[in-house]
Amino acid sequence: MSKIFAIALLLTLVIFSSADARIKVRGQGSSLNFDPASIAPEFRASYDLMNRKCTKCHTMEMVVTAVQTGRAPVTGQRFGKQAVKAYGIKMLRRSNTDMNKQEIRNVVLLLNYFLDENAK
Amino acid sequence: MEQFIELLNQLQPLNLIQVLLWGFAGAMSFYFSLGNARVWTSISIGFFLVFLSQAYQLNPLAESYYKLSAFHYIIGTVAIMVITHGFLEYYVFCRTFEISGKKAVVYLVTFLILVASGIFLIVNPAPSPNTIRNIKMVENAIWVFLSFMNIELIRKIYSSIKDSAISKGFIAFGIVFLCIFLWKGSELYLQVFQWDKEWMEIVTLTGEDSDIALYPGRVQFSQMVSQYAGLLSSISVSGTFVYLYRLLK
Repeated sequence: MSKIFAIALLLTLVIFSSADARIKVRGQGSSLNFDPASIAPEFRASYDLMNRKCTKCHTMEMVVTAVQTGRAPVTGQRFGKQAVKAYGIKMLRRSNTDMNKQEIRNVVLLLNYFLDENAK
Repeated sequence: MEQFIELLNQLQPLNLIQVLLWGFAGAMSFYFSLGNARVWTSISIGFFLVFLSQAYQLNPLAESYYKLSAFHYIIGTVAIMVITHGFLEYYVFCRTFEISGKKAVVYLVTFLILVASGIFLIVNPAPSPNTIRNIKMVENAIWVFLSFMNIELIRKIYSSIKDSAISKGFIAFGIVFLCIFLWKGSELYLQVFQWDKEWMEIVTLTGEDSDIALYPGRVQFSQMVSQYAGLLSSISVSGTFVYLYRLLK
């Protein structure tokens, strides 16, 4: 009986994992993206905007990785709401973003929403 | 390289000229520090550091690495402290003809202060845009206060040595600090009232209210003073060191 209990305990420990709080995603590798079905309706337009404009310079995989891991993939710096603000400012200063101030603000709010959802 | 070109695109022509002139002033002051008496070391190293602090505008990494961006502003703060220390030493030298320490020690201590500042940034969290703006505001406040103090020190040094050939060089330094006072003072004014560019960028993203639209005249005037006084500072520093170099040759 004690053997069965020990094996059961061992198996439990081997396959145990904490509940995954990550935001829902779809695709793999470079096609990895947030799952649009899981995004709140008020952020859908911003999500479409992000997919259209941000992907001109980088993949959505980079954004998903940053939100999920809390680290920016290129610089390795912490990716929280303050970092999102800093990225927004960087985009405001850029001459080649093809985004106006309101669009940049909408993407910043969307990223903050993703961070909140990922932390739930 | 692409990032560097993008940075150049973001810079206003006057700011780019200002950084290049600070580059020239930095090179001149550093060269001056190597070939001259110990009493000039702190002053010239300090002005060289001003160039390093201004170089963030051309550093593509400072845009992505926030600690590096903050470090440039800390270098600026160290710069004015070293310059003021230099003028204090010069004043004491004028009165007593005594100067202590070696040049190498001044270089080493300045370097160690910068290393300590770097360690301070490394052990702390990455600064947010608000924190970087706060660091910049502290830098400007120290510059404004110490520029005012340096003008008074320079007046006293000039009174002590007005019969010597080098005295006119100190009038030139007085002009330098007047320009710097206006340059940093106008920036500080805009920051204190939250009318500066960095704050405007922050509120664009956070949606906070700003009263900048109520005071367009004051804002434009301060921005103009900051831009032209900044440019004149770099020109006057370069000119002063070239003039001093000729005098002391």
